[in-house]
Amino acid sequence: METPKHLVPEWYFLPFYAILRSIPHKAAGIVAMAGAILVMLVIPFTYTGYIRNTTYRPLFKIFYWLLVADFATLMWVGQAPITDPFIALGQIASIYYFGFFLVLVPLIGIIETKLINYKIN
Amino acid sequence: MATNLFLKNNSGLNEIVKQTSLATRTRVRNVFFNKFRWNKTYLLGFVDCHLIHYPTPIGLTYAWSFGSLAGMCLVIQILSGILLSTHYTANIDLAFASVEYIMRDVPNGWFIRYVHANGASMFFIVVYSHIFRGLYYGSYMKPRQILWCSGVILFLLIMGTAFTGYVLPWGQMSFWGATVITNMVTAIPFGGQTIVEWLWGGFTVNAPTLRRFYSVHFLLPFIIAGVTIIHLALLHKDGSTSPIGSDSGVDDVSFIHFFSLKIYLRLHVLYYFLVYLFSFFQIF
Repeated sequence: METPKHLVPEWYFLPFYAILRSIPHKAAGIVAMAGAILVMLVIPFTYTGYIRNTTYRPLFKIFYWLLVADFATLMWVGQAPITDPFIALGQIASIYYFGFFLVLVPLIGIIETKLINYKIN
Repeated sequence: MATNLFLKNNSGLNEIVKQTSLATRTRVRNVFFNKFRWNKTYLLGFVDCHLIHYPTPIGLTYAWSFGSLAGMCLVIQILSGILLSTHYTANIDLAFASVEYIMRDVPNGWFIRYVHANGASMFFIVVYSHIFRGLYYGSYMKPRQILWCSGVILFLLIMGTAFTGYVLPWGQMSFWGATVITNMVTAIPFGGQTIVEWLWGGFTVNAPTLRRFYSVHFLLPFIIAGVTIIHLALLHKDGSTSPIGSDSGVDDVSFIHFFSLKIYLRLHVLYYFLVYLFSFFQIF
């Protein structure tokens, strides 16, 4: 028996598979894959803004749709072979994915709150 | 101190005022659900408060139907899975043959198998839509933080169920997928190899592995059902958010009639899409 060359999980696991493969180190890749799900646990506690609905947050809206595009990109990279454009693409997409939950959500909350409270005098 | 199981815990206006305004404003007299005396027993009263006259914001769009749809997908998966389990066997020499037996010899076995396999994909489509709805409308914000965390736990359980289920037909992808993913446990320092051999029941993915994956796959959906009840209980603590996001509760309407109909329509859309998929495509 031989490992099939095109070994991919089902489509719904592909984004996490892409995150796993984008880090060359074995243990770090596994931690990143588990972290990709566990990082969703932090957003209730890291969001620094006061507005709930993204309809009223034009700055955050851009980054939200970038996350949706990023998730779709990760899904595509997950089923692609590990060759040139896909390796870099997967790494950039993984960095944006983690950066969104850990950096962007609190940062944009702070920026929006400051913008709302900005006084012109 | 007894907690009130019947009233939504809104932090804004007076809860009693909201519940009575819902009662007087939206109760149409000659409708069955409003003619029946729901507070005759505790159980009926509980069903009424949480399912029938439960206050829901009037502005909910179809984006809010994904949660109920996910619950229905779980029911579809459990029913089709139990039907499949009456014919499947988890013996490595017979597993693939039993799946072929279901496909060819069991009456409408092909339908049940494709409902279960494609139903898993539908479950994930619905759950991903539900997660992205939550991210967009800020459903993770205070006071619903623990609700969001219970959702992440549900997501993990669903992924575990899907992973163990994919191994069961014992095809090439099943075997190698199981090997690759279980090998990741070897990355645990100091005990990784021992742990993975304990998980496998041997030195590689083999017969005990298939048997225990079948057990885990049968068990996890019932744990998912339990955590779903916790998820709904946490939701009913503060109620749904709305596209406006105000959470004040002044414009709440009863769940049955307004939203049961919306979800019923959604279920029909899902069902017809699924039947089309199952009849013409095998997503394998």
